[in-house]
Amino acid sequence: MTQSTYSVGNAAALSRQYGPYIQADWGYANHWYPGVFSHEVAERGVVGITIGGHDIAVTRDEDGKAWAIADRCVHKGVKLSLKPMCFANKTVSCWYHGFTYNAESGNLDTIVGSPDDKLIDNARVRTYPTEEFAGIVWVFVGDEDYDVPQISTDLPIKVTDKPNAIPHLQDADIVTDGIRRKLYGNWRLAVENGLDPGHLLVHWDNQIIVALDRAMPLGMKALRDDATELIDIEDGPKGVMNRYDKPENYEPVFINDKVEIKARGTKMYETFRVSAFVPATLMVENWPIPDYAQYEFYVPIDDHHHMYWEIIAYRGTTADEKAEFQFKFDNFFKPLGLLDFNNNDIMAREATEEFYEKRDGWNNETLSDMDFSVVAWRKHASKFGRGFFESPDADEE
Amino acid sequence: MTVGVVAGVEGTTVPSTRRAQFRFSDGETREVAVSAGQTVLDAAHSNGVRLASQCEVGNCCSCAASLTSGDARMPEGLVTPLTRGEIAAGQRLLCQSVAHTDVTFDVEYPSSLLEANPPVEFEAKISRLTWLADSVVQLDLKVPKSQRFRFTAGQYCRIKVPGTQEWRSYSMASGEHEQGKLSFLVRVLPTGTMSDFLRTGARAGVKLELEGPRGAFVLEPSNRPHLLIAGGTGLAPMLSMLDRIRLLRPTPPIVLVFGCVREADLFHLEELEARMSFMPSLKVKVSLEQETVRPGIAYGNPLSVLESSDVPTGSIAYLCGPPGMIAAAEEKLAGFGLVPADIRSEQFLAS
Repeated sequence: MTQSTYSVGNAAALSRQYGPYIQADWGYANHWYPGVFSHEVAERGVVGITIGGHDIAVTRDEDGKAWAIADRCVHKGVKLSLKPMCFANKTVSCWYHGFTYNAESGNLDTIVGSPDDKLIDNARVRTYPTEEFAGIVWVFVGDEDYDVPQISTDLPIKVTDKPNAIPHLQDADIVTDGIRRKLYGNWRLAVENGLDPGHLLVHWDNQIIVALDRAMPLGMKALRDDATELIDIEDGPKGVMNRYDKPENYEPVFINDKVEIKARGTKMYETFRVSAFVPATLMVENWPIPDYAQYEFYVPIDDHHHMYWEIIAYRGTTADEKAEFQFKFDNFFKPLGLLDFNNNDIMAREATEEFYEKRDGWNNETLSDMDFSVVAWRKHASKFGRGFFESPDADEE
Repeated sequence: MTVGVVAGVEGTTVPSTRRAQFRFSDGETREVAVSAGQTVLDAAHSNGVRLASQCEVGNCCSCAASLTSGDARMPEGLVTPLTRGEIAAGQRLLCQSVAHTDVTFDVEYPSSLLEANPPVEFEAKISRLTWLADSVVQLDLKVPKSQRFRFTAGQYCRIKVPGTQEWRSYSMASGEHEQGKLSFLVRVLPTGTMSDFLRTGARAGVKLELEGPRGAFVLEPSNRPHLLIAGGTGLAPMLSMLDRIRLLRPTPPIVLVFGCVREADLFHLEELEARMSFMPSLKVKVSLEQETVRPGIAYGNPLSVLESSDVPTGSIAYLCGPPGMIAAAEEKLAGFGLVPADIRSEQFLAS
């Protein structure tokens, strides 16, 4: 293993301080994660997802309630979601031999072509608890017998310390839209990229910044220990917040004389405070523009892939407000923010993965001043994981 | 170093306690303390010894075993599937039996049957060898992904010393879920086949033969206050247990008392410091039997630094270390009010 010659603030001695986080290469088990967008799963539809190695089929019954069961027929192990078939309300039938499962209990209710089979009522697929709000079907993924905690423990905090109301995912008047895509890269590298106060350079020339003439520094230098605040609410969210809103905490860097680059933009906007929450969530307040929030979820699929969720949230009740949100989403937030801007983050994450995957980056990275926030996150997240996902594959090298 | 298993050793202050020994079909034996009023099955289960059982009310006969010595009785007038003849021949339902003397039962299945992870033989490569102190080596092994190997925190593996026919037993220091990584702490002696191998032949890439998991000194996840007492490399199973306890919600209070003899043997202080940082409910006490100027280390042995406040009511204790330490700890813990069933121990001997 190559060792960096410059080892200040480095590597193995530090990594033991967040051992559980290093261990969580497949993600933290026994947490709530976003599964699918509500609009993706119609009544009697089936959508397949994978979270931390768990293959899950999400379906919807005729009352509109979403259910989640293992996406793996007990018979020959095919994925139920490959060809959705729901012949009776609140059931999912396997497209192959007709094994039909109750969506609520997972029970094998019947087999289409073998209604007297002894297996009926004696086999089942496991189920997963679900919730649905903010346009998302949420799934609790982990041990089947786990005492399921409130979903609010796995969401960002409700921001209350600012005059403008930052939309929270559990707000009754929440309006959201977003996209999700499967990406190469470990989920932790994605969270860290989102939180990282030092990565503004990758956004220097992004369309949204130029178009808004938005003042954006080249970097943010932390001045105090509590520049990254630890959030530990009893029976509530656990995470860290970069307090960019407190001028005494950070010194923005606008110019570096040794290189010919200086910060662009002249318009000051409301501070976009950034925070990360267990299990794998990011909240950016007042982004892309004031009164909005961007939520991102880096849902682990396996140890080298995650589902990247990008959600814009707003609070609105009237039809006009909702229509205006949708117009802005389609013509501004999505193309300039979720695509152009965040594509630069995706490039960064994919580029990082190789080193962490193949060269034990967790023990060979060279951390600098700006990684203060990321290290705070790693340590804090080490305290609160409720378990670890593991590879479900029997034979894999 | 060899590991001998003694679960729930009888305390000196509870004379009504009996011992029950189980002899499995594979020749393995397990021994537990049975408190007054406890059934033999309860005693086994509360000591982490897994025995077959189903209804546990005397109907199903799953827990039947043969009494080969001592006096164990089922309630008078109890109707069970056992015939009078079978009872006369020694058959008992363990879920109904109370020990009136020390007792021995023959069990007709192998001990591994019910131990969640039957032992397997496998090979693993040394991934890293770290000298933690003058006499302590951490041995990290990489288990191939194709090898299914699972264990319960507290268990051990036998490792064959390369180039010999000698096997040595070491507890896993790594957690139950570390995906193909196994860590062991080895006490290196001036002479000894494993010690010689570690000093001369061991290096990253060398393949070792292992067999395991073994051992009934296992963590039973619970929310009770935990007391872990470790002497020297007896810290290994405690580290594995901490990895499991950390995931319990709410995380119970834990006191870990860790003692070393010589300053040159002291190890893992940074590791324990780190554990405390991400396990807020963990308190660590380190003792050294030599005077030292190093801060935060108490002069004495793990027992002399143990205070009654470390053992709140309802505590469960796990001990691992040399026999002398364990015997002394059991006596001291009995004095703090712990019953034998709440003291689990594993002793090791230098070899």
